Amino acid sequence: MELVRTDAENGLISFSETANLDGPAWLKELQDTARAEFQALGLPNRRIEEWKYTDLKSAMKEAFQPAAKGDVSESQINDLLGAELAALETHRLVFVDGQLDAGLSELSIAEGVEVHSLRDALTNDVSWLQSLGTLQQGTRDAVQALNLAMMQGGAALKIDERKKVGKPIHLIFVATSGEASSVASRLFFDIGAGAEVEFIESHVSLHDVSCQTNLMTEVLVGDWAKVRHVKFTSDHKESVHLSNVVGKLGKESDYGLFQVTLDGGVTRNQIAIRYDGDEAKADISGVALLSGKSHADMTLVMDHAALGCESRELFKTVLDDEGRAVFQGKVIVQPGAQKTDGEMMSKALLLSESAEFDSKPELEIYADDVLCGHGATTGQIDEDLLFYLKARGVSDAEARSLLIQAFVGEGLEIIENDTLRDYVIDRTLAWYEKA
Amino acid sequence: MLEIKNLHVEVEGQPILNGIDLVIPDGEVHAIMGPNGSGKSTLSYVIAGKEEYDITEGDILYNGESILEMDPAERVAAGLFLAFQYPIEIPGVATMTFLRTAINAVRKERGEEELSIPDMMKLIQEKAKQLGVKPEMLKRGLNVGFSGGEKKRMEILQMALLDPGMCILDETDSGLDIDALRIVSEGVNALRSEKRSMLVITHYQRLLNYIVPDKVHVLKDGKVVRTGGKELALELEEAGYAEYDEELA
Repeated sequence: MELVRTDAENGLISFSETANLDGPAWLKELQDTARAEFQALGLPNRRIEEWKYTDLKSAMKEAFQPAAKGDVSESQINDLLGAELAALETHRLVFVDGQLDAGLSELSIAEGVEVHSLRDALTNDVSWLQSLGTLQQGTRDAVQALNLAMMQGGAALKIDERKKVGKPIHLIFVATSGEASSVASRLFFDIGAGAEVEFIESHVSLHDVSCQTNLMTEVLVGDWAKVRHVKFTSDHKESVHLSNVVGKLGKESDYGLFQVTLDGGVTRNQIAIRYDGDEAKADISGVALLSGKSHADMTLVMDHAALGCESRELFKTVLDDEGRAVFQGKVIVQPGAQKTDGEMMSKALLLSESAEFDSKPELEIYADDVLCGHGATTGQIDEDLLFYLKARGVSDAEARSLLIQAFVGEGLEIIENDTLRDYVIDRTLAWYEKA
Repeated sequence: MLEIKNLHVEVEGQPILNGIDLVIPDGEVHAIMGPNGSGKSTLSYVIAGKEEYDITEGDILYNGESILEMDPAERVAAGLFLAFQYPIEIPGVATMTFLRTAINAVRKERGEEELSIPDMMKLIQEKAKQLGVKPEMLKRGLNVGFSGGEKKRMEILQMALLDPGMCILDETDSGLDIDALRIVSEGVNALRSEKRSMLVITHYQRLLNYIVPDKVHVLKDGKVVRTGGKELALELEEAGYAEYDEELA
């Protein structure tokens, strides 16, 4: 069968062929399979159900050259992060153009925490890395396949059983190229039983240029382990940010992922959580603030395959101008996954007539003793609330700002870190003042 | 002094107020009573500046100046305050944050210096204590999970903090039991002064036992049909509003 591929697809295929990551034979096999898969699938377009509202084929007209690792200093990174995030007491892992930078990173975080660059881990064939790429098998997702075929760097991190990492680990992705470029990287986390860790993830760019990012995060959450992850993106308005988080949860583990998307070009945050052990819980939530022509897509699959697990999702989106947001959430309850408790909610606040919000919640339930629900709301600023605030002397602009703050703020207690929670509110207010 | 002159108001083409004339001099408390649908709440909203009302005729003057062109926040800075019949819940905005924002917004508009956070906290806590507003209420989302009485006390707290010259109390007694009514009324009475006027809107005479008015006006079909002293309220309590139906018929 002769497939007609776009320039972007052909470019991506050729980049993946030259992306020669040294590693064991199993890796090469995995990458070859992934490349063949991407060749067969191509970039997803709106005729594919999961990509109906985010047509990547038309959004990616060309494939940008993979970025070569550039130079950046610690003080530049601090400037890019801004005072609030830069001041946080964290262990930093800095990825320069997708490559873990040993000089800027703290690789010896603590006893019981093992960190390698992805390249080193693969070259040395670190034993616990052998499940890399296997969590996503059978999904037939072109973006995940592309990441596997193209990945240039990243990190592998292992936390020993019962190890509690005191300070958060800050994953800082810096793009240094002065020209449009692409970065494909991967994070692999193996969190031991009973371990506790908090991740913060930031994406910044040294220059005001667009970037095509493809980031894959695989996380194995051990039994009774607790993981928190807060991610911030505020990409260039012509960027394409493709992110996948694939997680497998052990018994009675507790996983929390909160994603904050500020403007950007086309952003797709795709999350797939597999409940593997009984009574595990996960909270996947986020805030997106979109103005201009920014497009953000949150697509998630919560796959309950064990007894008595809990899933919570709460997404808040504020849309201005021609901003567009997509929420696709699917909760699957496998046969036998009794006592599943799933709640999914997405709420959008539209500040402009030209903004658009598409919400597609789905429940697929094959067990009979479960509690699952979903809801979605879309609306404008409530005039009665606005009048009430104005009738207390608060100006129209300030009243609107307060109500947006309230909209975003409700449910933000999911973020346990106080500083990060305040930071989200500060960024919200700054975004609104600018919009 | 608040002067309402021949005020005609429509909502979506339907006349609601049909020529109201009312003067409330400084230091006086006037009550407006009337049956449901007589236009009492509309009058309060129009004075506060809610948008959905069309003023087709007449004027509202506060201290000699027309307020019709002012937006709601400007009216508050000028000295008008409306205590809502149904205070609105705003989850996600902490009550304390809201109070601080409102006080400083009004101070700024009045050309006064903004208060520092410690001064602000002191002021709010002091007034809150006087009104029996518990400290934990200030930490919660505005009016979220407050009982009817707590919401009304919060309204009066805001009134005290924003230091208005003209207070409009829209059915402040609705939904209150007798104890709550007493506490709220005491809070209101503590704010009575020679400089401050009040317009108390109520369906029932009960509230006027606690907040004793200088004058009572009866509103019916968007017009003031009778004006009298505080004894008029008692008369209405006995006879109801029925006689006004007959008079107008």
